[in-house]
Amino acid sequence: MITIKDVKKDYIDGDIKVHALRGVSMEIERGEFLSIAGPSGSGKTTLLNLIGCIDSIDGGEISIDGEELARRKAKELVEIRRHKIGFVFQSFNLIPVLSAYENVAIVLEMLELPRGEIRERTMTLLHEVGLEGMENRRPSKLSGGQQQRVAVARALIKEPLIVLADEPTANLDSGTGEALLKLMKRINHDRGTTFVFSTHDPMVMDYAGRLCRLHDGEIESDEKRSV
Amino acid sequence: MRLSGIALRNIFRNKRRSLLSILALAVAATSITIFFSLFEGIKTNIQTNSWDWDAGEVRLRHAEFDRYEYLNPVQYVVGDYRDLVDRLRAHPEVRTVSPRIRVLGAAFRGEQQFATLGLGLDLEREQEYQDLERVIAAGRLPRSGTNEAILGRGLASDLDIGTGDIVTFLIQTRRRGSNAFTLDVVGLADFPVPQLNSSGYILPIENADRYMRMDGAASEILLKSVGGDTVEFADGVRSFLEESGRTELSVVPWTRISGGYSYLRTAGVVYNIVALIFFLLASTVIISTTMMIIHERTREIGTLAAMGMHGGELVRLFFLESAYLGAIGSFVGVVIGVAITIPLSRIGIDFGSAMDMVEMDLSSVLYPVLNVRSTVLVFFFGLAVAMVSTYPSARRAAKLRPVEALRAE
Ligand SMILES: Nc1ncnc2c1ncn2[C@@H]1O[C@H](COP(=O)(O)OP(=O)(O)OP(=O)(O)O)[C@@H](O)[C@H]1O
Ligand SMILES: [Mg+2]
Repeated sequence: MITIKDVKKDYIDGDIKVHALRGVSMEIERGEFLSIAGPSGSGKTTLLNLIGCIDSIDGGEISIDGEELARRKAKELVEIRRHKIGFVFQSFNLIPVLSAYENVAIVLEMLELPRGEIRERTMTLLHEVGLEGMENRRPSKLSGGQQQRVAVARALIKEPLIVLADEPTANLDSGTGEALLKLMKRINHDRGTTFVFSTHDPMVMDYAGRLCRLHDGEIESDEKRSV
Repeated sequence: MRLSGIALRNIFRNKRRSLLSILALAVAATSITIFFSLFEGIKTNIQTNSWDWDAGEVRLRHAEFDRYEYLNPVQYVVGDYRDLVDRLRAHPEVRTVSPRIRVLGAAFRGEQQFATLGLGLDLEREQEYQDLERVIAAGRLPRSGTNEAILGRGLASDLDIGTGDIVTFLIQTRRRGSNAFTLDVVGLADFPVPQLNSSGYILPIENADRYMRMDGAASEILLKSVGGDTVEFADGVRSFLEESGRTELSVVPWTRISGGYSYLRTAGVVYNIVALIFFLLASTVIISTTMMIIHERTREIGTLAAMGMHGGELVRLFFLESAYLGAIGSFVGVVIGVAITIPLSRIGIDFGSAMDMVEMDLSSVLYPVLNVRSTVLVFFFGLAVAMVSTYPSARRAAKLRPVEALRAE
């Protein structure tokens, strides 16, 4: 479904060229629950950003559903993000002026779905992630774990091809983090949604159906696991 | 939750800052509203004074008088004015007619001599041309055919006389002879034109005719039209005079006579520039506010972009926010401006002696006039200023690369 072939990414930091990715290749199949692990600076975020079409590739190629990203114009990348990709960020990044409900519903509004459908799908999903009764709260009135649940719902609501989560549990305590992971795992299982998340937390890796270790911009190991 | 809803809520995120933007625009809009109505008042005032006391809307004189005006060629007159006035009155485009005899001369107080200008008016009919009663400060108007006069207040105090006194004028007749006559002062006038106030008086035209030896002639005839373009009106009167064989007369619209009118044209430009400066000041506040806002919300912008929001939609989001602020600020400003202007337009603003220096048909008490069109314009201009001021920052926000925006703190 997603093909990553010899992908390279360099950053220019002052006079120094940083090779963030030095030729990464992998296939991501539909329905996978894939964890990208690795020490700080190994290129996890960079890889997720490239898959998520929010950064430009310097070498190699990535194709999503057979569509090559490198040749796309900025506008087309926006459309791919809008329709096919869901993001979960480390620090939640909810829109502070919108309620939990609105933070999720806005995604479907951007897709211009009918009002009734938006309402029904949003409410159902918010219940599914365990936020019943909190629909009208603003992010500032929610705990970190609840906020991240809203973020997960926001990423899922459009039924994307893939959900990209960059260290989704890093800002949560371990109990809350584990609960979130269980939630993601359940959705992966029930709905078949593809998840790719980065982490350097061993507990989180334990949930992964496939663990891909990055080191210094290269894949160190890539193994399927049975959980 | 459409963009407009998000924009509306964003206003309340930092209330103090939004208030600052609103205030900046409101102050600008208030000032400009007052400023424009004052200018409108000046315009109305200059036009009214000029039409009533100086040039009429259109002025008829002997063409030679116009040409040699600096010599005061009193021998060039509008002959047989009564007949002409009657026929002008019947003209469909003419609303009112005021024949006048200008009596240049002097009056004395002891050794001291004061230049005077008498206006001989057809007192029975002048009332159609303008409301003379409004200038009476004391006493009453003179009666037709009598040797009565009403004096400008300034002149009266120069001569140290009042109602009930008599005054003697030394004048030059139409034939350039000298003549003197004495009038009963039956009232004092507050002429809206400073010059007239300090040297002018009104007497019946019949008596002015006798003193000046005019033989049924007038110095000039002032006209007001039923409405419409003054220059076209003047053209119409000119061809009417040609048909009537009165080709010796000149027809001049007030726009070519009044110094006030050319002042107004220059002042109009200056006033617009000042208005622009007010708005520019407000705009700097809004520009810096939106720069701050966008800086603070960088990560949010990155999030929305990552979620698949287009640059254009982001620009619209910020545009809408400032449109709300602009609409509120502009509206509040205009409302306050109007609320201040309305009482002022009744009471008037007394500029006192400051106006005596002005060599113009400008009264010392000015009444601001609320111009609906320009007030509405001020509102929309304020709105536009708010939105245009946002554009550069909004555009930059939309161009941010999502990765970089997301990394911002
Ligand atoms: N914008 C940037 N400018 C310069 N260098 C960058 C930039 N972003 C990342 N890098 C560098 O690229 C390398 C990979 O960074 P990346 O953020 O992908 O690592 P990471 O695995 O996500 O690390 P962490 O676990 O700390 O989040 C690092 O050496 C980092 O310093
Ligand atoms: Mg990272």
